[in-house]
Amino acid sequence: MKGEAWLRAENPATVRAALLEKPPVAAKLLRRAKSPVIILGHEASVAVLDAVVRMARATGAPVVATGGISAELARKGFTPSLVMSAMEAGDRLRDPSWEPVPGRSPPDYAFFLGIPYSISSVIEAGLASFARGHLRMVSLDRLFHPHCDLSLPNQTREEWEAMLAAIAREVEKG
Amino acid sequence: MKLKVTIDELITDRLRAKGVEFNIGRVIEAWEEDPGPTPMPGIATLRSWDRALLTKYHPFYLPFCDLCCLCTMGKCDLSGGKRGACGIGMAAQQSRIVLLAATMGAATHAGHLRHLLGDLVDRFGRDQTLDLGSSVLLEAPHARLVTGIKPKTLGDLEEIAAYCEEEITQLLSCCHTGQEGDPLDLESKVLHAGMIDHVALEGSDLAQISAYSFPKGDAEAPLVECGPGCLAPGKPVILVIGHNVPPAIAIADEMHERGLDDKIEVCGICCTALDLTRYNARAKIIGALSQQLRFIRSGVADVIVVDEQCIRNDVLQEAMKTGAPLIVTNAKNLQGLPDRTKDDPDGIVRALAEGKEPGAAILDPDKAGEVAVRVAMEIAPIRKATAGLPDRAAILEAAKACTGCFSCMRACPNDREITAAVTAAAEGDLAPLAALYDACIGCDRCGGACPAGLDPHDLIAGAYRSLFPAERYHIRAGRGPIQDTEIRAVGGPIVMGEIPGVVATIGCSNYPGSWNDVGSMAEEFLKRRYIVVTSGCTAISIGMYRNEQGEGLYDLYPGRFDAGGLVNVGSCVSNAHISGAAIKIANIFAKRKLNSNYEEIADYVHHRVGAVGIAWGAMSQKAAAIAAGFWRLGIPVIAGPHGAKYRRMLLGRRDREEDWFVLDARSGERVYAGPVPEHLFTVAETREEAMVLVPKLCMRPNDTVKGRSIKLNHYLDLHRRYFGGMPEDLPLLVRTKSDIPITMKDEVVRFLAAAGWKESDRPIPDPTLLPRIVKRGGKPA
Amino acid sequence: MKAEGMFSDIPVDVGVVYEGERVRKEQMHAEFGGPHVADKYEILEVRPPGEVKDGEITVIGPDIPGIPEGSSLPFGTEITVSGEGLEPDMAAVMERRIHDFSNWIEGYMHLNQRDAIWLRVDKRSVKKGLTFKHIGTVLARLLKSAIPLIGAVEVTFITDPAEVSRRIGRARIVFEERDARTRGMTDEDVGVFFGCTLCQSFAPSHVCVITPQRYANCGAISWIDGQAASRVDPKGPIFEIGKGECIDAGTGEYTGVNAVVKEKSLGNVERVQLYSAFGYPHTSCGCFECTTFFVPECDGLGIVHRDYKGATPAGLSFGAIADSTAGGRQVDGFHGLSFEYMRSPRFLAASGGWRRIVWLPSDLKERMKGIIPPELFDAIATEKDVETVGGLVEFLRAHRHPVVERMKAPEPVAAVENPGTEAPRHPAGSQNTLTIPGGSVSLTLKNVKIHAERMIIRKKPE
Ligand code: SF4
Ligand code: SF4
Ligand code: SF4
Repeated sequence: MKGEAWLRAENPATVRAALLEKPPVAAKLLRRAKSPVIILGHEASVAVLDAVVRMARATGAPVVATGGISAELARKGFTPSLVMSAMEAGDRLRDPSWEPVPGRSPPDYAFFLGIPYSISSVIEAGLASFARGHLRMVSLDRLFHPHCDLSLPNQTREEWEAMLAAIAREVEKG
Repeated sequence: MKLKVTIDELITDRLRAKGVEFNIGRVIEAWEEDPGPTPMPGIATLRSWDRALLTKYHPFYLPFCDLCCLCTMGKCDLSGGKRGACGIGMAAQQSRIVLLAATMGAATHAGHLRHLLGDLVDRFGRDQTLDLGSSVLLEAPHARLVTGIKPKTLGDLEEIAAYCEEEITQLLSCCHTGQEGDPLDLESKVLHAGMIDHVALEGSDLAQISAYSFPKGDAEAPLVECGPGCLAPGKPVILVIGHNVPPAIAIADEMHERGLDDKIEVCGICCTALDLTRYNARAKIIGALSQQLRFIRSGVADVIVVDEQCIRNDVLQEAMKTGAPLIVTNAKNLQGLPDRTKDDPDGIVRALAEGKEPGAAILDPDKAGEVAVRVAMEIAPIRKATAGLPDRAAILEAAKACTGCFSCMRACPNDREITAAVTAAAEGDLAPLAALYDACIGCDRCGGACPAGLDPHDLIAGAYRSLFPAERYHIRAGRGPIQDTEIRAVGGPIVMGEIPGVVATIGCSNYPGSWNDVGSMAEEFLKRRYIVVTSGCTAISIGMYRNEQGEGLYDLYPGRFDAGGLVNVGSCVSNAHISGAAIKIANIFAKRKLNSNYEEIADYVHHRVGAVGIAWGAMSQKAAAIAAGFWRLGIPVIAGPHGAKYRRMLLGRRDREEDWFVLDARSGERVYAGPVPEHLFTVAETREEAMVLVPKLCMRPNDTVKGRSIKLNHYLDLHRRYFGGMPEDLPLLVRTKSDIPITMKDEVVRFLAAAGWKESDRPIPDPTLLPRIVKRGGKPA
Repeated sequence: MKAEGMFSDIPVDVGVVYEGERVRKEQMHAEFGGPHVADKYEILEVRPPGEVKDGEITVIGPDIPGIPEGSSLPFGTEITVSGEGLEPDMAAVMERRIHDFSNWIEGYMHLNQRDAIWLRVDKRSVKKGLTFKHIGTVLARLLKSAIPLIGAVEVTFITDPAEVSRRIGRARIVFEERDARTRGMTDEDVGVFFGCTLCQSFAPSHVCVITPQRYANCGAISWIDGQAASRVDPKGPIFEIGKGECIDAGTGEYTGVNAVVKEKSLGNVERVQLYSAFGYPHTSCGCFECTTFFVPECDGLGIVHRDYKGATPAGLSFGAIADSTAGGRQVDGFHGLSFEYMRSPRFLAASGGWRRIVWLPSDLKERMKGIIPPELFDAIATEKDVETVGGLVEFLRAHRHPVVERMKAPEPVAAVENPGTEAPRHPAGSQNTLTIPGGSVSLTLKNVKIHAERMIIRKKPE
């Protein structure tokens, strides 16, 4: 079940995300990306937010906050680079010239988490077709996302929080 | 009307004619207005208007399925830039599916119109006049605008239906393999389907309002009862489900004739229920679509009568479990039952009441009504439900079988925490199960998935059942159209932006979370003095919401189309009155010509009427068509998260300045008007995100200074409340210093200064996208 | 929810979101003014700089925390403002903002104005610590924020009943003087008029001309308001119009007005006679409160207002009549206007004024009692008197209405020329008609098929 779509009826095409199970591997992706961006949705718990803030601070990756999670981030004293909807973020990611932070090169890696599956899965399916020349997608979500290039497995909330904390630690190690 | 004249031979001193045939495709009676440029537009007539919209609002495709399986060369994998065997690419495939959905939706409404007309013409005759009362003289804004016909009778509607049918056929044919392959041209056809859909919707409601004397734009339409708790115990119960009301009305009439008004409870789910209460305020609404299965399974109904649309396909099996006979009344949904339309009612009643047959197809509404009433009276005292919702003991017992495998959750479209709730029940705590109730859409996919044979759906409903008696609410019966005088009164404040917007909360009940979310959204905007309009299942869900003080919104807010009014227009087909109100503003208020003048009216509405739709639980193809009808008028729609599965958004890019220029009709100059409204179709991830989007999507280039500052005030306030801080796009929305809301002046000025904002030195334009609208004296650049 | 930013020192929130909020009886801590209390008022006055202590909020009598729950008290609000460019005439306009601003305060409800005010404060806001000191601070800040000309604001609340009744007389005198000044002013007294193009967003050729004796169509803007608005927001939609030369004082035609109207309507309207309903009447946008309609049978004008639901004797509702009126055009006899304009001595003066009015809805007639010349009052019909044009004509004759003199012999009712009613239908014809050429030409058609995609049947224009 780890590397299958959580929703039984979800039916990816001929390619399916590689399973990302080891925190150091995920951390390496974040660190090695030339211009990573993190798209963070409202399903992130407090522990998840902590981990994301740590990752963002350690790598300088811009965070796009969707679905009102910016208010939670503000409570943590963290200001996201952009506040917009997941759809807007997806739409911009398909544009190879979009700069989430002016002056910084357009993203080559997008990390998704916390966005409801019904929205994020179709955005990822869209980008897999329409942004494949310039963008790789990694899901750091609680559920497996087959349309990404790489994805964490399906997990319980507790496992997910622990996994993200571990990734954050790895990222911070540098 | 078509006209054909054949002259075999005619000889006068100046004319010799032999074998002459005159064929006139369509005879149209003119009315006060001369026809505009586009009477009865075909599938490509309004293409340039569509393109104008689509260059601002770009389709963002969201393949819900990467494959195409429509022809036998397939399946084809279209992902990652691959093309199908026919040459189609992913973008075109997605818009093709959108077109298919919108066309299905339009066909369903046009089919409904045709069916309804059939019934009504049989009963009242083709010459039955259409009458919306003295306050609604502009009876059919869509028909006048699109077809150029000003319908006066039921017969005139047949002509309008014929036009819709022709267009739908053309549209459907575009979905065939090897037809339209350009995504934008497909999108233009989607918009066409939407426009046709609203014509069909309008015709349907016009016909039934006139024929059955539903409320005619009545702001004080009666409050009717709603919720499973409103049924009086001990009476036979007839349940109606669907969208086509004549059979339900026949039931009410039959009860009346037999003196059974007080002896039987007639109640309904979905739009038939809404429409029945427009006819008879005594009828009751059980709930929205998501209540269908659980209410049937509760075994309360003695007879179930269905017509068309959104009816569960397993309704017969479910009805059989409860011992309630099923009467189907519509050729579109026969459920395999024998056609007994021509049979003697006595025989049908006997067969059903004695349980010899599980149900019958009766396609004559009157006969269906008679049979339903008689069967209800006979069967109620003797019916033994063989199934029902489990009681507490049964739930506790069943839950013990749960193995914690998560199969139910992996089947649940709403990702509810079912497993934990069932586990808790096994330990004696039913509260977690009951708490899932209002966020469960009642699909029963969990039941089908459980390897241990449990049915979590029933456990949830059963755990909640003890609370049913408290489920009693009010909803204002659908009032139908907006009065011309209301339009005149609010036209100014809306167009100038002083009423901050019209929020249409509409659509199905496939909500991502609690159904109370739509009620709380409506309340937020009612408090803020928006005009809140509603219809269909959402109108019901709003009725089933109680605010902090325990009050219902229909009791609290007036039904006027005015600031702070909560306007239930009625069922799905009544949605045409919402878009119709926007059209009426352009015509009644601003005197723009209506007759066959779609582009100009849409251009007006798009730039001036601050309206936005929220379809929080949109599920069906009909909803897709309804949304498309709003899009073509340039009215934005926000859907809930499940709306992403409609496969494409229409999104603006506020960061691209070049997308936001309009012509100033006064001077002909191209001027920057700002990213308003920013999107035509998008989904919101949360209720909060939707609420922040609403005031923004209500902004229009035409807003006066006062209007813009009011709209900004709501936007900033909601943004601060739900997102924290100032919105990043604020500098794009403030045109001059006078736009700045005075309650936030200092902060806004500081924020703008930091963002390097510069005040515009241009006057507010008279915005248009159509060069021909530019006035005398001005030249389009 | 706690306010941020501009009002962070106020214990309750402030924002437009509370505009529609009602404080119901059960939630109310105390009530000020309203129907159960005789003395209540609210006034804003402009003072010379130096006489206003900026930011000073005074409460005479107990403040909210000292007022027992359930009280209903007499109440006064006095606001004084000063600032360069502020003129005493602008006070009324600013005073009206108190209503909005008060309602933006969470849990503070404000209704009506002047000596009819009615306020309530919500228990929950009282619990959070709301006082009149806070309310005064909010009002002062909002006034300054909204009207940059204001340099200083001072607010005084009076909750002491004796003090309220001592002061209210002076306020009433000020109100009276203001009204007298507005009502007494004539077009001749002033050098400029004001124009408003706010309604051009839907009626592009419409320009309102606002003079001391002609209120704006929407009823929202008097000459004095126009003056204030054009000064407060010089870039806004309300602007000054130089009168120019008076072409005809009777019809109210001025060269300055004609020039501005021509320019702002982009040439669509060239002349305007302010006090006429025929010829070159003032244009009508769409948000007029009332409209006239012409009744040819008696050569008179009826007036109908927006809230009148029934039909007029011409058989048409307000909506149908308004359709003939609106859109920024000049239509003979169909003329949008405000209630206030009916009170003007120049009301439709060039077309006969009240002597030309033959029909009014009964509630409107009641409302205009005292304005309508007494000798005419009984001669003007309402829906209670007549239902048809025939009935109207009879009524007018019976009551010796002045239009009767103009009327010729009674005409048959069938010849009514009503806008919007059915005219006889013209037999079938098509847009591009095929006419058989005359002269010696003859035409032979053999085995022809003619297909017309559509044929439109239209009424022949009268
Ligand atoms: S019935 Fe309810 S709980 Fe079960 S799968 Fe459907 S939505 Fe989920
Ligand atoms: S599918 Fe059945 S057994 Fe599995 S967790 Fe759900 S209820 Fe339990
Ligand atoms: S009616 Fe009022 S708002 Fe409209 S143009 Fe006239 S004065 Fe301005």
